[in-house]
Amino acid sequence: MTNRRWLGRREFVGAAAVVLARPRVVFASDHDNVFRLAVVIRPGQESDLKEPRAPYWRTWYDELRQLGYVEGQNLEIEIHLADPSSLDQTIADLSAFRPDAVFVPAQSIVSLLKKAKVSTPIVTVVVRPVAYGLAESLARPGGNITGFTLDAGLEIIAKRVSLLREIVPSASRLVVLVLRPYWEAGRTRGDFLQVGEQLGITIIGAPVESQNSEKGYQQIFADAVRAGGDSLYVTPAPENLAHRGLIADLAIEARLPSVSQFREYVEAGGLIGYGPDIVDVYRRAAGYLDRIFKGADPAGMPYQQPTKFDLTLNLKTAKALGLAVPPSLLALADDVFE
Amino acid sequence: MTERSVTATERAAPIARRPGKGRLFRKYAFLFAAAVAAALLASGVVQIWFAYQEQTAFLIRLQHEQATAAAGKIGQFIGEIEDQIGWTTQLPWVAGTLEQRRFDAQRLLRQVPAITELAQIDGGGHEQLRVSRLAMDAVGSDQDYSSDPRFTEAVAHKVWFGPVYFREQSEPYMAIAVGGNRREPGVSVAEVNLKFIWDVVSRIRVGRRGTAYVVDGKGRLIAHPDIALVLRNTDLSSLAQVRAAGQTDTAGDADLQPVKTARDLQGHEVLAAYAPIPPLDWHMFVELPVNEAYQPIYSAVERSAALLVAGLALAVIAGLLLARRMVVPIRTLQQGALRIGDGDLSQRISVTTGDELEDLADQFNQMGERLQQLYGNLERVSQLKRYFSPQLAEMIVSSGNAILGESHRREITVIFCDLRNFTAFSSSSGPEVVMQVLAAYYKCLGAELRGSEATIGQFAGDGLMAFFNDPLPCPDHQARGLSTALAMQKEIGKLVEEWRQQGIELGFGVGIASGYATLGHIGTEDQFHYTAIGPVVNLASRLCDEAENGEILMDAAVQAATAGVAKTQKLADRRLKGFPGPVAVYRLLATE
Repeated sequence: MTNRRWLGRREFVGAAAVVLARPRVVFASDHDNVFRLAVVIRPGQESDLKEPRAPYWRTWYDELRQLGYVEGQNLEIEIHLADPSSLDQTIADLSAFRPDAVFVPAQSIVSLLKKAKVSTPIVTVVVRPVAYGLAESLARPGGNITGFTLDAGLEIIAKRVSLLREIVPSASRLVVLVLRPYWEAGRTRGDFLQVGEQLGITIIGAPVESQNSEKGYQQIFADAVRAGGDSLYVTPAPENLAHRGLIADLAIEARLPSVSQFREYVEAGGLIGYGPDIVDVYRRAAGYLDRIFKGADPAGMPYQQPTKFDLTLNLKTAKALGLAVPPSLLALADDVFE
Repeated sequence: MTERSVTATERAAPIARRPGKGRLFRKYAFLFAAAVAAALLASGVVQIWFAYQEQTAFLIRLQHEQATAAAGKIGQFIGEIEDQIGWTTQLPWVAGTLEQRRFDAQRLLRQVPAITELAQIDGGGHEQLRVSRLAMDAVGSDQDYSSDPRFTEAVAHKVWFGPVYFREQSEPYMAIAVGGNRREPGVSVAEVNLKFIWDVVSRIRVGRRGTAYVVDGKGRLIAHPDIALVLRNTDLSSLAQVRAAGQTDTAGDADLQPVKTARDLQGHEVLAAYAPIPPLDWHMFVELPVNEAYQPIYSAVERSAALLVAGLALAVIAGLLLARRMVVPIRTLQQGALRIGDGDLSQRISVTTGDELEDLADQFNQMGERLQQLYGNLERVSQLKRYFSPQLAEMIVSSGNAILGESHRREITVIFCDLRNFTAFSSSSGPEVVMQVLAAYYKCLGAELRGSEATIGQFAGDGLMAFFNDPLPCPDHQARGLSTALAMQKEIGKLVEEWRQQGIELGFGVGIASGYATLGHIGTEDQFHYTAIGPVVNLASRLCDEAENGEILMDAAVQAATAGVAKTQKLADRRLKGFPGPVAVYRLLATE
């Protein structure tokens, strides 16, 4: 009796110590204390997840940890590689895993998951959720999917192209490196054609296959050069992000000055980047996952738009392409790689 | 025997009272604990009351200060943007400056992240330049702003703050238009993304779980640490504190913003303070959960409760100890008193509390001692009464035997008396009658002797010897003796007459002699008498023998000493046994 009471007190003290030491730990009462989180990415994206992780993934993991989730203790993360052709398998894998939340930083996949009526809360990183039917409105998505937008409307595409044209005023044939489904679905192609009309340039589609490889990209670039492309727009498809080094190298090889929204792309050898801080987006995404673990309803969690757009320049690439960067642009750059 | 039975009942009484014995202890302990608890409770309540008052006053001041300070920060944030926009209005509207203006605008956007777009309108109200983060720069669009408030208000008032609007129903935006100076009447219009106020409000710490947020004039949320609430275009105009803030403004009483207990968006009770954000129609709200705000008071209550419990426990312990200290000696006293009551007069009570109780015990002991003494005296008095009259006996006892002292010689007057014919009577009568006669006889004698200052020397059957002037000094002992003898003769005479009527023939004779005798105790170790020895005793005895019924015979010494008061008749000298020569004998005739 005395012994039991003593143990009880010790347990109590231990519990109190835990509470004091880690006030942010969340334990759902009807839960087995381990949150299951599924990450669904495109094949090829996993390279950024491997150690050493790309900064944006590292930040995502760090933020989860900051919020009190420790993998192997109260968090179980499963990485799923999804391809549109094998989506049924992915959905079967997901239902076997029974995740509390799914993180899908790929618009092509999240659209398919929505179509397949997957009801698990999903946090995503997309370009234009309302235009692509993922959300009723940015303020109230209204479904099980919420997340972050990487762009703020169509006009920013024109903005990027105009930035590119400040370095290469002669650019008139823009190659757009875009996922084939989007290019063929018409919507993205229409957007780009509209921009081309506005700026008086020709848009050359360079559709990227979902199952992409080095060879595939080489082929795309060869086709683009053959089509007379003199500049390159790299869309924020996760495939493109994952193959940023390859794309940058191929662009220099093909002597195509390129613009993208990712700083990471410029760092890898792209010429211009103008877009949101993806590291910040991934950090916030971890915060949204935390909210969902705590029981928030994605329907009422607004999509967050980027607020700050960073202009990054790679002078080494400019030099390699034999281009001069105007001092006024250089003065406005947030980050310059030399 | 009677004494013993009385003691028995006395002893029985306290036994019957015993069940109530703990009452004093309990009462005392309870009273002590109750008094201490009441004092603690009163002090606790007073403390809590003042703590509550102080905390409330402190919270009101603190919350209001926080709200004002936070409002100041927001005002500063907006003011800085306004200042920055001001820089772009300084270039004159002449050809060739456009490129410079564009570069300035781009640098402004780089400098001030909150500005998403900057449009420059010339003095005629036409847009000349538009630089945006999200869209391509537009030069010379010539869009007409001449009747737009962005232009007209900025020209009229130098600065104009537009209403808050939500881009794509999500991001809060506001236009800030700044007019140029008189010579260069252009206007710069910036579209400011108010999401950046998040940086300001999320840095404002309100307690541990409190929040600071900004609401515009229409009651819509502009800035909140939870950015999702802002992006959801949350309308807070239904909250009491937001309504109150709107009303305070119209009342013009902006000076004293009260802190209110209200409910937040989740319905939790909060202390809400607000302050206006000039020059905008916005309000800064600072909310602190009530349970956190009053945590110090709850702590004070808990502390007081803990103190109360501890104090109560201490009071009970102290009460018990004190009651014990009090009750134990009282019990000792009680038991001592009981024992004394039981007749154990040698009982002494040992109480060493060093206080009134010890005094009481000492007094008890003194009383016991005194009682013992008195009791001893009483015993001795009752013993002494056998020899002396009661007054004398008490006198002897109270003088501590000093009167008796050692054996000594003194001049005394001795009375000897007995009944005539008693021997014959006692042998011929039944014992009951004899004892009855003797009882009446001694009762009568006792009454007379008690009234005198005589010391009774001895009894023997019907004979009695008494003497005067020892131990009680009596200067006229002969006269006293004579008058006592006379009184005896008179009273016994009556008895003799009664007896005669009953057919009992008895007489009564008295002999008195005066002279020196030896006085002292005679007898065995435990049975002794105080008596007189000497010829005068023998003389009195012989005179008694000589006396006829109703006669009082005296020697010459008595006769000489009482000549003034007594009339005597000298009888013929007699030869008396034990006296070598003839002895002069006088018979009392009468006294004056």
